[in-house]
Amino acid sequence: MSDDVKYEQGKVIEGHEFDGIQELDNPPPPWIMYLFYLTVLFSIGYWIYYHMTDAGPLQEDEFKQEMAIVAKAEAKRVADAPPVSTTASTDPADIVAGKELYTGKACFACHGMNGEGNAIGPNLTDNFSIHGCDFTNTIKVIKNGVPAKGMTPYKDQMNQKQTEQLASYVLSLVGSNPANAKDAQGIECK
Amino acid sequence: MENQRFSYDNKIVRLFMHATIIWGIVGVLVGLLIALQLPFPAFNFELSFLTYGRVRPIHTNAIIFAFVGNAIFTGVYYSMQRLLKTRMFSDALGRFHFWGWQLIIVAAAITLALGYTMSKEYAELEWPIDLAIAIVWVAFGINITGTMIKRRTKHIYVAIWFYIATWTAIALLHVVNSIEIPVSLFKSYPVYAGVQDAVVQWWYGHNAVAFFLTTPFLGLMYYFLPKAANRPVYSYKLSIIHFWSLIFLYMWAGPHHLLYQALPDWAQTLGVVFSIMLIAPSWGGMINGLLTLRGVWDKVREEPILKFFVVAVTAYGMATFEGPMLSLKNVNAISHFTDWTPAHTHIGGMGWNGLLTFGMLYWLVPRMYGVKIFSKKLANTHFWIATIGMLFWAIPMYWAGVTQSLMWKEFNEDGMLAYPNFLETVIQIVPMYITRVVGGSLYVVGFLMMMYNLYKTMAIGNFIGDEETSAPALHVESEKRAAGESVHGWLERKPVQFTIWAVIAVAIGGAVEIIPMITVKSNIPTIETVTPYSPLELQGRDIYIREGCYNCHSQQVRPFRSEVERYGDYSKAGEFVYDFPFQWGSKRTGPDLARTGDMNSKMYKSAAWHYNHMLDPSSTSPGSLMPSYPWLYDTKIDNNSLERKIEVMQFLGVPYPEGFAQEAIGNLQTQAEQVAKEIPGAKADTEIIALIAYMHKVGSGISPKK
Repeated sequence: MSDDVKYEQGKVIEGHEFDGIQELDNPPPPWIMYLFYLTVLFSIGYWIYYHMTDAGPLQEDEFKQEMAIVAKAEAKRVADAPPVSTTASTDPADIVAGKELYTGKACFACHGMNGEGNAIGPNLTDNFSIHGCDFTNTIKVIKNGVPAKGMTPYKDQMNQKQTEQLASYVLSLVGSNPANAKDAQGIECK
Repeated sequence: MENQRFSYDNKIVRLFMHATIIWGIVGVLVGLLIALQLPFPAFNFELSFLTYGRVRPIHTNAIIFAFVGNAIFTGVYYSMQRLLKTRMFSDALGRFHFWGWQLIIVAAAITLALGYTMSKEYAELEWPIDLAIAIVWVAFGINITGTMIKRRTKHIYVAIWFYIATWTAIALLHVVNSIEIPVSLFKSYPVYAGVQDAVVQWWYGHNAVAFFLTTPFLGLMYYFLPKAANRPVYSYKLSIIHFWSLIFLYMWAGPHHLLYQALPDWAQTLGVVFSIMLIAPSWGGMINGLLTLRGVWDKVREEPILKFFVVAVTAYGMATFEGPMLSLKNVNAISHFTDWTPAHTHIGGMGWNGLLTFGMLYWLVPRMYGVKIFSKKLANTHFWIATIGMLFWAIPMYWAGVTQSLMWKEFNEDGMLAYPNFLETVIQIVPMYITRVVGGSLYVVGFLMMMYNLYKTMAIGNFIGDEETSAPALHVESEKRAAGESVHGWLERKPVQFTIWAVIAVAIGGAVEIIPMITVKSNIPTIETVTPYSPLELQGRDIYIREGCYNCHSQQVRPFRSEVERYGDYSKAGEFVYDFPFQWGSKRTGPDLARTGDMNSKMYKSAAWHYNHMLDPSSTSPGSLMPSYPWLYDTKIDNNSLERKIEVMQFLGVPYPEGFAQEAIGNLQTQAEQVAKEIPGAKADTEIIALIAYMHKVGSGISPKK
């Protein structure tokens, strides 16, 4: 065997016999010792790098660095996103896209499959609204949410165009009279 | 010197062996059940005691303490007598140890199913069982020490060094991690809170792996592998070096379970570097095992026992290389909280512990029954099916872990999370969860083959209960080191001194990390706005603990853009000062819950949402794998021990005003009414209300509600 060539067969150590098991006086393979010394050196270096010099960022600094890069991109994202429209779209393509978002973002979990509302969230199909009826207000609610009442903000999950498509779809549901509609909440829309 | 006649006690070995086999099959079957529950939540059966959060700890405890534990004792009781040329010190202590341990296992299974848990991983058991463990462990300690003292060999062999380290370290870990104040017979709070509790727990958790799954098995390897191969151990010197370096270094590495979490940087760094330094000492065991086989590799082809040993030792080598790699912060940032972790643990558990145990059992049974194995061919088939099963288990989990982690971290061109809904990343890996069930099933089939094979062997053989033998008496050595005797050689004939040095070696690491965490205030900077839990929230928290929510949900947002974006502000050490015990978790099968009470977080949901979600998770989250918790809706909050709970909290330093314990019930009812008002149809005195109140408290300390 190649092992035999590489690791010379040592001698049996005298007096070391335990239930028939003997031990050889081979030294440890050198590579394992070098590996150990290497990991010790690594550890000393690691400690110096992170704790005795300013070279290595600790976790809070690392986070700040990551977020600083993002902040630049963020500024661009906000600048890039003026409202496309101030009124709801009636373009069937936008309505279909909005409907997909309504399903994809699980809006139905709180507002029902057809916007009829359920134990968690209000009916979206009647002529009443808690936070304002028009397109701009609908956009605002989708973006910023109403955390105290459980409406999650979606501004970090959809871009401006998607938000407008979703709002257009939601407003298109008004007057659709779905089954099991929840009682009206909020004020009547004019 | 005259030869003394005596006998080895095989009966105690047989008892532990039967327990190993029986608990082993129970443990893997329970594992199979929870593996099924993940892709198919229907397997939770809507029954509290069969729900994942309660069953998963039964699986881990059954495998670690029942299967592996009994395997350790089987091997220790067999090998120790022969290595020391004496019967065990006391037959009675051995029986006490055996029956005590099995009683603890039964008590553990029942109490965990009923939801009595400390929620500290692998240390879930409540205080009466913790006490019982301590007593049985002491009995075991007396028995092995007594055996060493009455031995007939001059030196103690390396296998026994590892048994000594196992005993001392586990005693230390168990005692320190289990200091708790009882509230009632089955409820207690640990004395450590938040960060301190996390550090103590993972010092324990990591070293339970080290000193329950690793060192005793290295000891078993050092006995059974050279015996089965009939070869001398490759290097005595390597044994010494890797033994002492291993037991000293292991104890420092615990904080690698808490990387990028609310732990001071210095402690994290210690966790990283000591894990890296562990590679060579761990591999020392592997190469000493593998090199012992040099020259007999042709035998490995023939002999299933050696095959089991070779793959076990190789799995050990892989897991102990992977562990340090996972301890590097940049790797850990990807792997942690994902299925990579269970993949890693199962290479260790199924490979190293499982296969080594199987090999040992195939070796032991024929010898204790004086026959050949019933079917070598079947043992060979078991080997292959177990190995393939293990791969079918682990590879999909590596895949799932990396896939999910990359999805968690991906941003789209708009600078938003590509998969903002956590559930999308779960549904993606369901096929891998199903593949894992296949792997686990294969492993179970192999186990059944072994049971059949071993019991057939027992049936054809005749059990040798007392194995007659003889050995010369040990002539009394001088206390002092003889001329030409090495220091270690001297230590090897002084078991008590040896044990003392082992205690010193294992005590240092924990002391350096834990003591400053408790005594130095700057390690946990105070946050003024963090307030204690109200009585209702505290009750809700105890329900969260009882249901084992921490098994799938972390409460720890790491300082990464992707996590802050998904969950909210990252977690700070000062937020957890009233958390007895901490609930950071170690796995995200569901999303992190550290910010469910913070209205600025996307994780904030209304009371009505939580109410519907926990009754039927798929109603609010279609495709969710979460079980439903119908019993929370008709079980009333148990306020019998509430007063005592508040008093214990006050004793632990929680600043409730004086006399608050007596007002607690009134306070609880008022808050419960308020919460229930927000939910159509909810009853204020039910457990779900307390749980929702707790959800709305978690993580709210950094931005208090107006």
